[in-house]
Amino acid sequence: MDNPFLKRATEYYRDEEAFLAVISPEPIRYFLREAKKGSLYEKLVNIRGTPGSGKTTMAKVFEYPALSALLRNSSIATYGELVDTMTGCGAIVDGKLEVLGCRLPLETDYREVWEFDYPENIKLTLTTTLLQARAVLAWLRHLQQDGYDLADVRIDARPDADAALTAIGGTAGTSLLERARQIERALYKVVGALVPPELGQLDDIVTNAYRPFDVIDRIVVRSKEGEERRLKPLVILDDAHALHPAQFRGLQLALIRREIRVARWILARLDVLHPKEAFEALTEDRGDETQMPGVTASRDYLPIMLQSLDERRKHRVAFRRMAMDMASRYLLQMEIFRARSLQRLENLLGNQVPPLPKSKVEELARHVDAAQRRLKISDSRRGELKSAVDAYTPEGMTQVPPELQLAMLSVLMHRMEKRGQAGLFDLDLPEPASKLPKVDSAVLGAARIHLLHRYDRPYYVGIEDLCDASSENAEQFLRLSAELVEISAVNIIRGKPALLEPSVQHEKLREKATHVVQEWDFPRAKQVRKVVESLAAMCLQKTLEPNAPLGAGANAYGILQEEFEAIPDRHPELAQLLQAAIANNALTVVPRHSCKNKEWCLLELGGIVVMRHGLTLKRGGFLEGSASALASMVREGA
Amino acid sequence: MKQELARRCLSKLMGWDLERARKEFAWLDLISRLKYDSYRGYFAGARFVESLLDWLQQFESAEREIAYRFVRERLVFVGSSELQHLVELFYPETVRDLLSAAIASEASIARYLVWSRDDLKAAYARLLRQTLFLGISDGARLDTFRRVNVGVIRNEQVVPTIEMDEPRWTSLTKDLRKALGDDEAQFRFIFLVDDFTGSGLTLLRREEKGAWTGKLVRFWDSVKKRITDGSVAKDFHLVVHHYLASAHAVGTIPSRAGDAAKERGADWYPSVDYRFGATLPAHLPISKDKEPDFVKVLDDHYNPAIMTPSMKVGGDDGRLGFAGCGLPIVLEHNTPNNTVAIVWAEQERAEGHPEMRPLFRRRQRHL
Repeated sequence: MDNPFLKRATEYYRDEEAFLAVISPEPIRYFLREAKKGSLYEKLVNIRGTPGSGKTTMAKVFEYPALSALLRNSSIATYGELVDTMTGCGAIVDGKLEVLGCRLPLETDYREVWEFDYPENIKLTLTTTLLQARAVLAWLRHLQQDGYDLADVRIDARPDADAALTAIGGTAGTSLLERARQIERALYKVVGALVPPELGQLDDIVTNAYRPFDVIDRIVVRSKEGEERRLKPLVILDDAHALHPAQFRGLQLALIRREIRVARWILARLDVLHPKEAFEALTEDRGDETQMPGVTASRDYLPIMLQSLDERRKHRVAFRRMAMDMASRYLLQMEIFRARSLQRLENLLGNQVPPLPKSKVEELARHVDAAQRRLKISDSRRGELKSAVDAYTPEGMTQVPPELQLAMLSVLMHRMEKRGQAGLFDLDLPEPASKLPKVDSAVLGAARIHLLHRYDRPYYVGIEDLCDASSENAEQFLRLSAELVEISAVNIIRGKPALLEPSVQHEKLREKATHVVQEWDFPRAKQVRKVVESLAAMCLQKTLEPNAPLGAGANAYGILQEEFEAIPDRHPELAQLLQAAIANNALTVVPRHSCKNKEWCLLELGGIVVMRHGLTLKRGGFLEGSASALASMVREGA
Repeated sequence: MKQELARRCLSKLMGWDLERARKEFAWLDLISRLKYDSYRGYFAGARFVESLLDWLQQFESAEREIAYRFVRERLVFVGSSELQHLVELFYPETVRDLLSAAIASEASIARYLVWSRDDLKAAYARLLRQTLFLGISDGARLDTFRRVNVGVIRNEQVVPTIEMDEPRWTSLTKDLRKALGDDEAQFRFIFLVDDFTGSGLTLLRREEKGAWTGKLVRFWDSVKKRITDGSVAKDFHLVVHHYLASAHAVGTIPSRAGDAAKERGADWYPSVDYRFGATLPAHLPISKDKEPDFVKVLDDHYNPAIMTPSMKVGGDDGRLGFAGCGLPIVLEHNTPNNTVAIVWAEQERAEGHPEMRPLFRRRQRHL
């Protein structure tokens, strides 16, 4: 039984049609079409995200072979949405391709260039020249593979670039290819040499100017019927975090220049940034001048973060939609579900949590009675609280189950105590009704999480929890889903219902979360694990306070915004650790969170960590902390 | 049978809970695709999982887990890629090694120097052409051997059987002499090749009356006539090569052959060498000491009717396989009879003895 949920990385799909079949248009629509309409092919586009956030997948859709396959199959209904999205992105215009995209993974030999004992400007020239030659080769190769003869390919050059045009081989496809091959071959000889040549011994061909990105405006192809199409060349530099930081910054500066006509995107993980830069990017206070003089983000390049910074609720909803769409596409690949018309993951995840056994409800009732006695709450006051609980029916529920009502009652009684209901000398004084604590979703949330920890009542249940636990990371969502999908398939094989009981979902997700945290192997994973586990333990302690001051509890650590921004300068070690944690979904930064008339920056625990420790997925509850306290936690090994 | 149905029945038969079923299904999927479904004795609709289901049904419920554990933990399946690898190694590791050693010995120089002298390289090429490769059985994969050594070994040097009639010998000799341009040329090296040996008894054994028999004896009877007629050199060298062998066979064949050579004197090969591509570990065989539970299952599900005359050559009790080898091995194209009988034997219930259903049905080569 093949489980496509386990085959997340889209690089593994060799066939374009197979690749397109699992592509959800949602992230492209959300990040590229709606947010950034119009600028995708003009300025440098910087796309940053955590591993598994879908950078490469998006890039692959914009590659010429994928777009070409999409148009070939555009009459197939399942591709309709994607065609529509790509049209919205301007990659397809009037049902025809507008963009000639190529993706260059930078994980190959570019980094080696930076190891040479040459001046930085020479190393940067070698890097950009190699990239440009390979981009030209890739564009022409894509066209040839699509059946075009190079004799029918030419470029439209910028009118004022005669000398540069000659240097790249002229306008004809064949001469362009020949020149790009010569350049690539010569550079490869240098890059691949065991001992790089002395600077003075570099071939002229390597050091001479070769800047096709400055020259090429459009790539013009003529079909066999004589119809001409003018395609916008697009180069997507993937995995740019593999470059040396200085090389990365140099490349960015080189590609920012406005005279470049070629559309260019740089895709990188957050790790590539200098901690200060990363923190500024995360808080959207990009003082890029510090790193790139004279460059302004909004004016000179287009930053796209595949992580929620603003409009978090909207982002979460969008991610849920995307994740469900993606899961449906993957389920369709599995015969066992397809044959039974089980096409929606949400339909496999039951969310009706079964009632606790009678003995446990009775035990809980005894606990509540004991709490009443301990808190010295009168029967009449308890009766009032109970009536309020009985009257409460949240949206989507016909009735709150008895165990939840009891747990809610317990929370309310403890809240009464905190309000000073039962002083030492006023045991029997009736309290005014206005002092009754409010019964709301926060109390219900607290009751649910208290029951999780007291009676292991299933908590992480249903598609929304699954999506939210994924920290808006597609790969994480698929990893978690793979587990549940596999169990559902095994159930079907065993002749059992495909629907997964809440207890199974909850147990398996928590097991998987524990496994994932234990298996972290990114840089500084050990330290990150220690710190997030300490933070989670603190959050759990707060969550389990009987009066549930934060409702469903805490899942974040708050630092005053100005303190957070000063972390790279004041606590560089902490800055590096936080950057690694954020880059790998262990933490999410929520900047400028207003609370108690102060501006906080929240370090929200990733969904996986939250599940492992039995915390709430609901956002907003945080522990008030400080950068110095966190720094000392790091220093002391958490 | 549908894969899904087979797995469902298997899960029910074994009484697996969700976790166990999940673990076992994952393993079954992997191992079926990677290895077991390629067994040539299977056919569409009845491959590994279906066969496993059928096989396990013959056991009592308490025995099933023991039998399943045997399949899961002890069974060794040699797939086509492993065998292909052993075939590919045969020429560079064995043939070239022996022939270059012979050339070096004749020239009284170190072996590595053979490749530094043109005259010796030519002598090597000549000796290689004077070499024959004969298959002991149809498992010898000489077709593959020929393909991977195309341009090195000619088709006229490779014969899939050791039982050749006179016209065939004449034809081979004629081709040799024509290729070398030498009317006196003779074969100086003969390689007898087979896929597997578990006990070595098929190759060479002593009969009850004390006489030697086996394929080596039969081939000697055939080849000595060729020495007489000049096709084969008087001092030719015989090499018996098995791609895979049990540790038992590797330990006993040379010494048994030594006894035969001593006793038969001049009526035997001038020189014989035994080579093995890979040797199975000595701890591999099933034994009562190590696995009493599984051996009890073998005892309870043994039907002596499986003992054909050829099986009886190895002894009267075949529950641990031919000659009591107790091997847990299956080859991609067939299961050796040295493997424990429960894996391959097929026998109907009779005379108070149980039915035996195979997991990897054996195509009998010896009846």
